[in-house]
Amino acid sequence: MTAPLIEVEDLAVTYRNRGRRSVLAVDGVSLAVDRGRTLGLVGESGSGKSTIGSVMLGLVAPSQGRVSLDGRPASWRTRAERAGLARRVQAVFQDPFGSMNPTRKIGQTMTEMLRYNLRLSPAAVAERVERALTDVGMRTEALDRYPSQFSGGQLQRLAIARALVVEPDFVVCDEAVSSLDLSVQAQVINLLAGLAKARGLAYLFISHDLTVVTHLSDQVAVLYAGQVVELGPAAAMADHPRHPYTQALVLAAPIPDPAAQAARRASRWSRAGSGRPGSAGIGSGSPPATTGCRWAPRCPFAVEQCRLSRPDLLERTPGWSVACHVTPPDSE
Amino acid sequence: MIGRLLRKPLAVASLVWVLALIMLSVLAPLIAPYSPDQQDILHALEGPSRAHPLGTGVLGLDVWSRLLYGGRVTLVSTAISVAVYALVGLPAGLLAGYRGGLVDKVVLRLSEVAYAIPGTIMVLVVLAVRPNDETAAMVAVGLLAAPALARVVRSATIAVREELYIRAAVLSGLPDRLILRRHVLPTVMGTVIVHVALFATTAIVLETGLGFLGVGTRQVSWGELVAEASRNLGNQPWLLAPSGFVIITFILAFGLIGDGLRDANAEGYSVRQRAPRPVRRHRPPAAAAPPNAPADLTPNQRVIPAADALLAVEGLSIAFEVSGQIVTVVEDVSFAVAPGELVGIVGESGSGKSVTVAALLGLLRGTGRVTAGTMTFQGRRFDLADVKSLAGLRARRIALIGQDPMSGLDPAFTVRHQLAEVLKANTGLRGPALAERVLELLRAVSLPEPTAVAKSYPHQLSGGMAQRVSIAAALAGQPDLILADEPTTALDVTVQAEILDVLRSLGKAVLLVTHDWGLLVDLCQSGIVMYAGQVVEQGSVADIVADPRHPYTLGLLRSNPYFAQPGRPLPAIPGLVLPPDRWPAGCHFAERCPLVGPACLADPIPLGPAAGRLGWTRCLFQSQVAGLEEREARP
Amino acid sequence: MGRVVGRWFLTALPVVVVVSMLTFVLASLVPGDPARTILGINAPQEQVDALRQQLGLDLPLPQRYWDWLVAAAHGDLGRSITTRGSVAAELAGRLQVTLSLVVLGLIVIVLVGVGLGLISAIKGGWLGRAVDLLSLIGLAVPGFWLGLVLVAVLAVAVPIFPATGFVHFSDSPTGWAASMALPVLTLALTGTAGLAKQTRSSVLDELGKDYVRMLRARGLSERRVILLHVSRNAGAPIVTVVGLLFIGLVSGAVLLETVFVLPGLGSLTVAATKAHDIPVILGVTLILSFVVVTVNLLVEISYALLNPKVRT
Repeated sequence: MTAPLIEVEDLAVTYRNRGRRSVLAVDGVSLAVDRGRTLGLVGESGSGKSTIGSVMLGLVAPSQGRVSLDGRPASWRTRAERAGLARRVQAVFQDPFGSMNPTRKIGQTMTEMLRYNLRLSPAAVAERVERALTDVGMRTEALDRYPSQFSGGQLQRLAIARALVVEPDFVVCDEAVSSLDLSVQAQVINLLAGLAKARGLAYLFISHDLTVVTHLSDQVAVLYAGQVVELGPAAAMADHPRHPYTQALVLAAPIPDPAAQAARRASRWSRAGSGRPGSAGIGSGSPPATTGCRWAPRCPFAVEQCRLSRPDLLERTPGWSVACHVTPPDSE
Repeated sequence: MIGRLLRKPLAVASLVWVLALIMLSVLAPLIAPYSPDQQDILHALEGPSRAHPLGTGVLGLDVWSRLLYGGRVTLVSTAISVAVYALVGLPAGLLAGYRGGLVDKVVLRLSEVAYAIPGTIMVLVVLAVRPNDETAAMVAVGLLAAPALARVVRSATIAVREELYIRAAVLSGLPDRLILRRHVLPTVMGTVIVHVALFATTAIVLETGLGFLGVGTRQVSWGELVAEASRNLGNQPWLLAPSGFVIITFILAFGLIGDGLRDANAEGYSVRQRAPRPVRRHRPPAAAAPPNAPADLTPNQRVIPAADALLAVEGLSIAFEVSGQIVTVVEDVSFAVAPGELVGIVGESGSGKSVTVAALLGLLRGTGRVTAGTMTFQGRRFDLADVKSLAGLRARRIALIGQDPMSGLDPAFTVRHQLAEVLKANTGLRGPALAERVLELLRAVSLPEPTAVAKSYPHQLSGGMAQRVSIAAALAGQPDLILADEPTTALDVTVQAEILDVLRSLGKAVLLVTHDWGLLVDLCQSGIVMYAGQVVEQGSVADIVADPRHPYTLGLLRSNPYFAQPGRPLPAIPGLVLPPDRWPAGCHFAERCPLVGPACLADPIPLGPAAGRLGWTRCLFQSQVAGLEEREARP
Repeated sequence: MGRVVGRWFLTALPVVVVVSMLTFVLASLVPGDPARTILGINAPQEQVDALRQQLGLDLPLPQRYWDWLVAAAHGDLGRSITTRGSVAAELAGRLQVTLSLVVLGLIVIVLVGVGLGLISAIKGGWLGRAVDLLSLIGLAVPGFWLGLVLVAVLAVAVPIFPATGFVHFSDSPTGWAASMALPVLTLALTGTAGLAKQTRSSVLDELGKDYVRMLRARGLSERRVILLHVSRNAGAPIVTVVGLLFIGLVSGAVLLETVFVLPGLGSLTVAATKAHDIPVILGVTLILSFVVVTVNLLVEISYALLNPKVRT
């Protein structure tokens, strides 16, 4: 069996909270992305999903665990190592307006990596840039303009093009479509999906939106409070989530189908235990537990064991792992 | 940047003046009619004359000549201190901000020391040690002020360092040196220019001050001329004028050049205004449009008869002033809400949904104003342009819940204070009853520990808790209608579901603004779809979702990944929303519409009744919308 | 609040010590021998050596600094080289003059500047442009020159106020007020517009924030929104500027005391500079840096009072 394209093992990241106590943002996470495949990473704010992306990009140093590329450990310590990894691993971020330096022309931003890192000839630079622009559906006139002359959707296309010019194998998309309007979001989702096929790209697709992640990913990992609670095939997991937290996520996400949404709502209320709409129910105030299962304080199925020991992420069916001591009923 | 600077008359005049002063000082030996110490005892302390154009000082020294020579000292000294200030402060600030760590700590401590000692005093200390060594003094001035610049640059750099484009540059494998030069420096340059210009003015004041005190250089200087004037105030006050004039205009010129450079720097990359376009005239509603006479029913009459309506909005148009032009952003919007009804407005950014709701309470931001439209609320008619009359409705009749719960609360006051304040303003409650009502409101929005929450400041709350507090504040005046403008956009989905439950449980009419079809379906009975400032479709939510009658409604629904076919691209709407100043006369959606025909382009499309079901649509081809989906579904 | 004061002790006192150390080291670089300066060029060498020993000038620099610091902590700042009088006593009298000038000036500036800024933010229009213009003038006109113009107009041409000199409050309150009028007016004219501009921009910042809109939506009166909520939140940055303004006013006072012949710390420093009177110079920097860090403490306390995020 060949090694995955990129892999993190037993990852932990601790943030020091400006002098106060340190916060464990990621706790014992192992994930792998195969060549040409997309791994979705879903979770709410504070789940550590962006931190995992940052570790894979070398922007955050893990306090424990390792990152490997093609089975070899990846390191960002020296400048040469950083420059080498920059050719293979790229990123597209959430805010298209923040992703491009407002004081520099698009062309200056797009070409600097090719000129200063890959040290290509001007002709080769022009050719690469043109190809990337064509791929994202933009014209070369864009190079002569400043970011403020584009809409959010166009800038996000340009940000994708900038990630593509080095012809990477792996792109981290951190909430890459979250700030876009629905109609533009659909265009960019299609673009990302098309590029993956055409260029054989692998993605780590990070989002809080389960529906978007499901559509784009082959596999999805669900994070809660820095830990993976479920990892499985995208479509099947969205339909029949097995971990109570994944189920809560699915039930809470409203869908534009009145009958199905009414069913979801009823199911959610019955789980909240009271059936009374508006009650605090599962208790949005409860923070994640520090021992045992982190979701236990908000879990309707929690038993004594959940508060005592942390459940391991175990494979229940081939390619589908769940970290839960109990087997909750299907949510639908 | 120089080119842009040269288009600013004030900056150009200032530049010319500074250059002129430099030239005059440099060429002083050639131009000056007298040497600076040439006496003319017979004409001492005289006003301007032919021989002495600016008069004379003591011993008949020529003021004009001394002014020319004196400029040399001020110019050189200012240049020295500005150079030291910029060359020390800028690199130190960049490094401290970008690298952090030890450099950062040293810069911060040094700036604290520099702040703790008044500059003039420290310069006098230097001059006590090195008498009349003005160069040393001005170097000290620069060094003393440099930590302040470093500190400013450091904050600007830290702000830039967090920007995504810096992350992207790091990911490109660019060396730090290049990142600092190409990405950080241009962004902090505006701040640096302002501070250098400001410091230059301070340095000039200080330098002339030293001359005035007689502790600076022994050569003739502008400050010394002021000192001479001060000694002869009684008999020749005119002497104050020449030196004062050059000093003040010189400082002023630096200030104006600084402003000009900062603006020129920013204009280089900020939005270039589009070529001015003629202001769009607001067209009167076409004859085919639904009649707006008060006796008539509102456009979504078949959903809610106007007679029973709690709120009926008719013909609302809103315009903003953007760089001198009036731009209409909402056009002829009409809808109604029945008592207790849950109505949702769905649309993308720029559709005008949020401003529509803000206008109902007279809360448009900035230059926005209502150009047409009326509202009937509980049988009373209001002119929506009359903000004062709408203010009476706030909180007691119509309440608002905003998008970002955190920024919607005043950070300086506790929850208890803010809720009590709203209650006092809108009810007669006082004393213990008031305190009890605060807790009751917090319980009404299902906050688990109302007493603890009441004592908290907004920054101590989570987003979900803060939004519950906002809802509690909205309930304080016992309103009959709640306007909820994207109330859950900033929240996690599990929290969002709970907030929706709270809204549902209030038993009040809610007008929800959202971009999320799921929210509309989950909460609302009636829906209003907006596109580019217009209502394009309205009806019951079930009808709109199952049987859309406008191609935009269908397109937006199908863009949702929930409806996606696995492995197939989403049926995305092509193109982009047009900005308000480029909306066409005809259908606003025409450019992106698969059904577009010649009839769509010429005239405004009226909102007409949906055929065969309740509701309204702004499409001439509503019967073909359903066919679009089948066409889409064919492989 | 205790944390704010505690942090101040930890950072501010070291700052005072560092400032005094820097000044001391700088002062030790004075060319020539202070003992020789005191005794004159013709004094015999033995006498000079004896004085050197008496003054402790034969000790190493760190030792001398330490001795000076310990003495200073006990209120002894040594003797002036020119007057042979106690530096501490001299400073105490003069600090009064400087502080009354600076504090009076600050009060006028804060009252007028904040008021003007608030009104121009709310009313906008020509008042805003007037503040802009005023602040440009405040920036460009050096205080010492303006002071002279005021003297020429209001004391010499039309003698309303005394041109120069200082009357102690205890001697004659009206005389004191008259002697302070022109210097304070000068300070106010140069400082007010800057504060007004800062106030206006802080208030405009706050007015644009979401919570202001929400407060209006909640039916609060415009008066209450502005006088309670906006002014409190805009207050924090204004307080910081007032702290910086204070330091600037002390700097400005040095020159104004010379213009108006006021017996304050500034004119003392200028005289000491000309006479190379190092003990006086050291004393002045120590006292002033102490005053400045104390003002900074007041600023931090007010900031914490206005901003609960700092407090909690």
